[in-house]
Amino acid sequence: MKSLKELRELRETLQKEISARNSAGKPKIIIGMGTCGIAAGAREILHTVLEEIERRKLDVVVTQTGCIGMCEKEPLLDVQLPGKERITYGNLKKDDVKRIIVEHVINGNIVTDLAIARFEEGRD
Amino acid sequence: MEETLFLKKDMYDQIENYDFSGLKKALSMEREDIARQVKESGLKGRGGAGFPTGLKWELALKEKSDKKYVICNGDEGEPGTFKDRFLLEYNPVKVLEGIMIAAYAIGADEGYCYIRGEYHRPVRIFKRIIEKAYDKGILGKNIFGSGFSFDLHLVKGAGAYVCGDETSLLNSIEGKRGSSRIKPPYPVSKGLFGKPTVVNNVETLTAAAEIITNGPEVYSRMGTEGSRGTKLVCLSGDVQKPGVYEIEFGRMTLKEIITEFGGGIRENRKLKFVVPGGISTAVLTADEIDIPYTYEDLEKAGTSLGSGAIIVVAEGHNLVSLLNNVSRFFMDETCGTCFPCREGNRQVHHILKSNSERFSERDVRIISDLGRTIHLAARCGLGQTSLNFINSVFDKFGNELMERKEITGG
Ligand SMILES: Cc1cc2nc3c(=O)[nH]c(=O)nc-3n(C[C@H](O)[C@H](O)[C@H](O)COP(=O)(O)O)c2cc1C
Ligand code: SF4
Repeated sequence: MKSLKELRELRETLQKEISARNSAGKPKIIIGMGTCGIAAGAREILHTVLEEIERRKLDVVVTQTGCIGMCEKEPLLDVQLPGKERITYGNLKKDDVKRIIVEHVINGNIVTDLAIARFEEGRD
Repeated sequence: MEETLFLKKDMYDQIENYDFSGLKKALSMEREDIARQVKESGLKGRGGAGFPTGLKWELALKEKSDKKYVICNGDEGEPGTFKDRFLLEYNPVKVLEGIMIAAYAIGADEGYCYIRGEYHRPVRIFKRIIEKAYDKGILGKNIFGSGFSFDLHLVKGAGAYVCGDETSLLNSIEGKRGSSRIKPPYPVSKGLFGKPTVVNNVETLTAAAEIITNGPEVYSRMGTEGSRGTKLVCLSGDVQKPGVYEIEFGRMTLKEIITEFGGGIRENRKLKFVVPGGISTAVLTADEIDIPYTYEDLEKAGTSLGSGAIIVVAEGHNLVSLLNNVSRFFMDETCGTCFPCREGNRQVHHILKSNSERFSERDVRIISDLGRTIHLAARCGLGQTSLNFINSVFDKFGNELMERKEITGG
């Protein structure tokens, strides 16, 4: 890299790449892996999610987050479909994961009896 | 056994339903008397450090200054803790009353309520309470015709555990980087924008409101000599019925809290250990939990009541992965000011991560040494307590974690 112009160009291409990575338009599953979550069985939930995704060959991003202060509802799992509201599911068992993946992640219908919150960012 | 309802007794989530009798009573009292009554009640800070609240108010009142602040600490970042969220959602009106009584008691005319950013619902609820309080003249100038004026602002945290520490929180409100300040000077003499400031936890302020409303005797009659009143405990992990329960100090053992309120361990598994006060406290094994739930008894057992977060862990979890989880938390959350806390937690995480099964004696010694160094050198509670959990697990479950000694002949 020799000039400021090159630097700017490089920045532009990289920024495009980064935003492409972010807005890849993939569904996202976020699992609460704080200590309280793990103690309530979050690791099993994570394994089940990964198994289900593998079995059904889904293109889904799975990430983790820490304790969000809803420890009494752990294990927690959030589903974020592109352009849709982020939904938090709580008090989960292994079998619930399958339902959430089939009904919400694949078919786009929120599993209302398991949902405990809707992400309210921007509403307050 | 039943819960002892004091904070959970008369909860108000609508400002219209409450007459602010506690605040009105406070406004008719001398400032010194408010601090004295809170002192007599025996209330200690519920944010983790357990400093006597009445004394804090008295010290702040004695400070001479043209400006003082009150701050309500609702950062609640300790994993396993959710009682402040409970109060902000179900009893926000009493939280507001507590803040205002504290303000009047120390002579502050401005305050902040600092709420954890992830708490969208509590933020929304409390914001509406503040707006309505202004509409009704409960906040603002000349409140209830008493001549006392008070403005309250709501600030959202941005997700850093260290910002729950009162001095980091002050920096955060001032718009600075969230890292701790050197003490002394303490916030009561030089706090927000250099002015005398009282920082109190949400639960502390709610309790103070009830104490002024009902009189200090009601509170000091409950509990033990070293632990007056009630405490909201946050029960989570491998229990049947996790949730927020109100406990009178000394009336129940830790074990009873878990079996009676928690409904015992899930899926009939065996209890492995309990984290009695959030992940910055030392764990207690199944044999150690038959002790009364008080500050002093937990201290005697070598741990602490912390923020009231009781995380129950049953057999069947991978200990190493739990250690890794806690260590990762502290490595991520250290603010980095003190070298031993920043690098020490990183090293500990490195050691834990590179061993999937068993640890050598050397590893354990290094972790324990680092723990001591961090504890001695740390400027704030984050560093000081960062290895309590990890060292106590090695201490108590060493036989499961350490390499088995091979008997070599000759
Ligand atoms: C790393 C760290 C995190 C803390 N987090 C909180 C918190 O989330 N909420 C809180 O009230 N106090 C927290 N504290 C304690 C505060 O520094 C302070 O002692 C407390 O807010 C004082 O209020 P109290 O006397 O009513 O407990 C934390 C302390 C440290 C060192
Ligand atoms: S002890 Fe750790 S968290 Fe606290 S001020 Fe020092 S580096 Fe920051």
